[in-house]
Amino acid sequence: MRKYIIALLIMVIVFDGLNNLREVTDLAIVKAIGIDMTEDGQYKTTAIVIDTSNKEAQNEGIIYESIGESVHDSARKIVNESPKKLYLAQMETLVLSEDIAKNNFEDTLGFFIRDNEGSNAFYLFVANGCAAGDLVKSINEEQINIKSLLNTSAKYRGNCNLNSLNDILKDKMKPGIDITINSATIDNENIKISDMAYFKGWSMKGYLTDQESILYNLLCNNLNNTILVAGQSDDRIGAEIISSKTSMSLDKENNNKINFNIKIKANISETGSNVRILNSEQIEDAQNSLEERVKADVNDFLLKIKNEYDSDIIGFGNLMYRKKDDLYKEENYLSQIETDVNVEVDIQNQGGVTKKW
Amino acid sequence: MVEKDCEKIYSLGYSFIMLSSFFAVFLGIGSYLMFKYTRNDTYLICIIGALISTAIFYIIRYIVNNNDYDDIYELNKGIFGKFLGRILNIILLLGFILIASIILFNNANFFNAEYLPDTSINFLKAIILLPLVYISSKSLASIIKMNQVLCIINIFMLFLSIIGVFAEFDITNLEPVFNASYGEIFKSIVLYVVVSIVPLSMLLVCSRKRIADSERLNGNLLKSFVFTNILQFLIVLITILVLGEKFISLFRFPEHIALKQFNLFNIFQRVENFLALQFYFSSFSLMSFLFYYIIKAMPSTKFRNYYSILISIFLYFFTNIIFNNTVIFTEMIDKYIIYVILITIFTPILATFAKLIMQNKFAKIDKK
Repeated sequence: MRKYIIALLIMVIVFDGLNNLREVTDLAIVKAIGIDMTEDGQYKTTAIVIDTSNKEAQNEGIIYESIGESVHDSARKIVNESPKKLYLAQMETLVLSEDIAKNNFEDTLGFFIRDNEGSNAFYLFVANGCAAGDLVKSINEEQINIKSLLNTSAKYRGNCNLNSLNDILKDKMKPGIDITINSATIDNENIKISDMAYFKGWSMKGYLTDQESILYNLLCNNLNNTILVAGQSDDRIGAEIISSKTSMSLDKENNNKINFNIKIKANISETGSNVRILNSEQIEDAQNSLEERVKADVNDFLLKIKNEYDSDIIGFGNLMYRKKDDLYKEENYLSQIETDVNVEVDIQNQGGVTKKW
Repeated sequence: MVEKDCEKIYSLGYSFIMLSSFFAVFLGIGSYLMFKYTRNDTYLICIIGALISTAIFYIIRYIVNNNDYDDIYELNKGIFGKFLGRILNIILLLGFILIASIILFNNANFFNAEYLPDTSINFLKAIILLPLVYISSKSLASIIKMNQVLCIINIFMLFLSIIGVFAEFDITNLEPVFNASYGEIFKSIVLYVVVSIVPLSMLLVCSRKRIADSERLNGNLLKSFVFTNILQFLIVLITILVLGEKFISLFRFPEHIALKQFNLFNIFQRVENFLALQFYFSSFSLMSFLFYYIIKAMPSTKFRNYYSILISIFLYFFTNIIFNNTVIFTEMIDKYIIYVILITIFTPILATFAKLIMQNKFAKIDKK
């Protein structure tokens, strides 16, 4: 019995000593963080902290800013202003400035990868043409849920994707693949999802165009829905992609050749006055037109990736690595790769219309 | 003396000893090192390793079945004589103390890295040791029953985890297959086989004669061994499918990082801390058996009731001395764990097995 009493006494002392004990009311729950680089090479952190004390303004947060020698240092200095320590576990958005994405991307992310409190399940943005801190402030001022904005764009437009920091890191760790990150910008004081930023290694190189962002997501199986138009004016066919699947494989005869097989299911959403989609032949014609358009666009995009961007965002090198082909180890392997694109568009319905009005 | 019903040990509960001990030695130790050597080929290593470790399983089962004494210590004294038996028992005891230190530090390190980074690792060690002091005052039957309950909870949580991370599976993470070199594959297989000696050796905690339904013992042991290896294979496979080859090597506890991806119907998220209890439960079970082993080896004096406290205090300071920090700990297990297990646990067991075989052969010849 005596030993249990001793154990109990030790327990009382030890359990009381947990340094991590924090009440919910003591937490400064962070919604979004923006990180910029100052001119003298310091990190500037701008954080939106949910104001739990003001029940009427649940969406409006408090903005804190601080500068420090490292990300952790600048984030911690916020306690000089805030009575509570930042709690990152519920963070939804991390915005990095272009400067950081180009020059200090790896070092900056180090803090968030190591931090045990966070789940790394937040969305990462590059502030396109503005400071990350300004973007974060705008999110707070306009009370915009950037997560919903991203969700909607990814779901209905496909010019961005829903990859979290974890997904990006997973891709980054794979050999023979470069990453892309969503970007956001302030346009006439409105926040909008912008073109995707592409990287080479740990450095951001530039932005894809809007159309390229969609094609990138199509090729990486991140596309749920978008609008596709083939032909012009009276000959145009507008279709809504409702699902797509892209498979990538090494050619059996030529190891430098990668075959893309893209399968798209779409619904006709509008047509020009010259287009009739009333029978199976006309549906087939429409399918062919859409297939040609996608094929041409994808080919142009792949050519641009190989020759202009010089960034393996599609993961040709990773496919070669997985299939034990060593070509990806060569410095200019992208320019040596040939591609063959096969597109199949399957029109599911023509919008419930059986004749032309 | 008639054994009370609640003090009976049943074969099912007894065979569960393997299961929890397996999880405990593989999390952060076995799996971590295997992932380090063979990365995304580790799931194949589990299959090969499991097949090879079947030989060790049969050695242990043979000893259990042919043990006419209470446990391995008594058996060693009985068949080798007091002097040689004691030497073997001391080597075994040393092995169990070292393994207990490794599991204790690994467990404290896990909580420190994943939950309580600001809390001193010494506090965490104290918290882990306190319930062990209590449980080691109980009988073996009680420890086995507790282990059985924890195992069932663990299995439930494991399958829940598998369902929760299913959406994160990426089959391409398994490619390229057999990317590791022959040397790395060999190292990893040896590691699997050697590390699995620890959970299997926990079965020597009692002999067949103490099992109430001993006629079912061999069947239940085999089922448990196969089931345990399948679960270990699943844990490794799922971690690879979720994290991928390169991401796995980034973390000290990749299994826990994989759990962070848990998402059930977009409703249940961020429950990894709850699900990670399975890691604690299995470590707790293994530590309970190790404490039981260590106490059992101690001489019977009037201080016997205080042995669990003394062992806890010893382990507390011993881990402080030999593992200064996590980096040293990781380096040490990487370099020495195979030798520690082989020399201090496997060698005495092998000696016991050889002696038993010889005795049984001579007994057969004598009968003829």
